[in-house]
Amino acid sequence: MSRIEDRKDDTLLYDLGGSEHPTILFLDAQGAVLARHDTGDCSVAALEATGAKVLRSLDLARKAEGDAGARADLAIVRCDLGVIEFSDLESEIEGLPLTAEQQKSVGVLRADATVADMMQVLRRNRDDAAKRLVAEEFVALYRAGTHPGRTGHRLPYWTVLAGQAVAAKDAAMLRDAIAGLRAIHGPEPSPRAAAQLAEMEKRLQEIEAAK
Amino acid sequence: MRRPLAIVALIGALAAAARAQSLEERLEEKLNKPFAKNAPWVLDFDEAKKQATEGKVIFAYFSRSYAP
Repeated sequence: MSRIEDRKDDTLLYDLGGSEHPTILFLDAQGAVLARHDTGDCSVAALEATGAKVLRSLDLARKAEGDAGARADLAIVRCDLGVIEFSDLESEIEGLPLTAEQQKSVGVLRADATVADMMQVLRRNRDDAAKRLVAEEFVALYRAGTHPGRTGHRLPYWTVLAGQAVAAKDAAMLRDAIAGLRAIHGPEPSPRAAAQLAEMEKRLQEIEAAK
Repeated sequence: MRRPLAIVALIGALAAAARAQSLEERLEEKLNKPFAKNAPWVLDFDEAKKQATEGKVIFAYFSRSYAP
């Protein structure tokens, strides 16, 4: 037995589309999901940032009718908050004039959706073909200059790219991957992360020395 | 965040390997941790929705004994 039986709200997590522990959601008074917090970063700052986006989405929802810019912003922020899928975002912004900033946000969300799809691929199958497909997709995102925004996506993204960079002896990509990973791990990385970063730095020096 | 939050903590699912402690003891231990004890968490979803009147948002946290 892994749970206390017959407790009220026992299936609520699953009813709300969650499955992992921890899961952090923001809900409205009717119990509808307003945000699925990216638990890759549960710092106070990250939670406050999600809370601020939730409030922004509520404000945008009030303005969206008759305001194409607000409608696009609302779809973007709702996708960013995990309330709608990227395919829904694409449908909602179709035909709307997007600002450069909105286009950039959509690009980041497209990268997040791609990484999420690739993580599903790896969950189903971890053979060489699957790993190669994931690596190719991530390298394509990197070459296009659109990187994922969610912490839970940035870690596998930059880790895979670091491996690809070492294999291809691509110093620029390895430098970017190390910077991306340092941004995730912060000034005090775990001993394991610190060791991985040190190894990557060593490889980078070797690649640069060989030029 | 300026607006008040109605808060709900739903700590229903617990660890499988309850050897030294019963599941109820593990739940109690979790609820006694500072993060849970030092805030007015609501453990009942209907009650949380009732408290989340106009302008308030429910912050829902799902955990289990061995998860953060």
